[in-house]
Amino acid sequence: MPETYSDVELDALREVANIGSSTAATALSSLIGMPVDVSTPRAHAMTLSQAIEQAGPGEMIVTTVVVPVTGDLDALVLMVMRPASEEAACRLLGVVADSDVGRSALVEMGNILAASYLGALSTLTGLVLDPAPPERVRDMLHAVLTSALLTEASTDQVIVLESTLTVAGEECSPTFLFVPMRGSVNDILVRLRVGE
Amino acid sequence: MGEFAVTANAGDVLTTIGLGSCVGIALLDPKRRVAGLAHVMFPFAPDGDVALPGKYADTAVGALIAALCELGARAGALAAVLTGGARMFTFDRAAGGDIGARNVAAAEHALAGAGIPIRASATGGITGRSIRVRAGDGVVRVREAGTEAELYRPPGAPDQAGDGR
Repeated sequence: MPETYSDVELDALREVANIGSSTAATALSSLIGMPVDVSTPRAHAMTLSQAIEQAGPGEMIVTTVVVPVTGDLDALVLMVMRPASEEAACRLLGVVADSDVGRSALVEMGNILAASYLGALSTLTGLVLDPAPPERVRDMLHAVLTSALLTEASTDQVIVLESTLTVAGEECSPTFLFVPMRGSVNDILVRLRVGE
Repeated sequence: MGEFAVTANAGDVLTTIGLGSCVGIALLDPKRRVAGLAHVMFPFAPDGDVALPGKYADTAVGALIAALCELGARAGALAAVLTGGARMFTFDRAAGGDIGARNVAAAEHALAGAGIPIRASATGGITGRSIRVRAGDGVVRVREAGTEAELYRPPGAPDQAGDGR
């Protein structure tokens, strides 16, 4: 039976996304020395299939840095960038895109931003949220998302917290997805005092 | 995703894009110009879950066979082509690990159980794939890592004039 979330709960989760991504935006801004805007975060409650299908065209090539989360929550942080964003990010970081150094720089960027995001969530909820080693994949959007998110024990209904950071004046806009797995959403809601 | 489709329209192309750990199971009866394609996400259906048979390797094969036979396919003439089941990340979220490999194994097992031969496979590895199945001649094309190529052409499939390979 798919869980449903009340408006109050979704609002609380959007606020989580807001705080996490604002903190990540500050970190990105420090990294590249330019102002970074954050889009209004969205909290999608839907089946995993829907979440993936709505993320964008299935064959669109994207670079994704995935940071698994350990500690009190089972979750994933994903930073998704289209090729133009990736090139702009590398330029801003002072490295050549499509090189080993460029790829490493992106992984490091994803790592730093995910850690900021998680740090903010940790402060907000009191939960221990540790980033595990990140992985970077460049491939079709749906292939990457299914490979990262599908688990056998998938409860099918997921919450995806989504926000996009945009570097002012640049075509650099990584999208952040925070996906709590398997009932972790309730752990978050309880800590925010809106869950059962 | 997690669904299947069958067709007896010769002009149709069944498509599944962006297969990561998921497996595309294509079943063909080229002589009768029917084809089916399932986008499988998990190896085995939990007890009692038959709402989406295309989602699980074990139930997808049976569902495809039934639907194709209703369209006039002959069960004994069916052949399979498998794609997908990659492992794109080293971290394992699924209990039992490497869900891509387990999807492939479950699909192979279900096909063997139904007596359906696998004529071609593009499975495993670390890259995503898309599969396109032409109902008219049973030709299967796969796109992977930026290139597209023919994976399977049934014997005796007529070459269509002016057809790009």
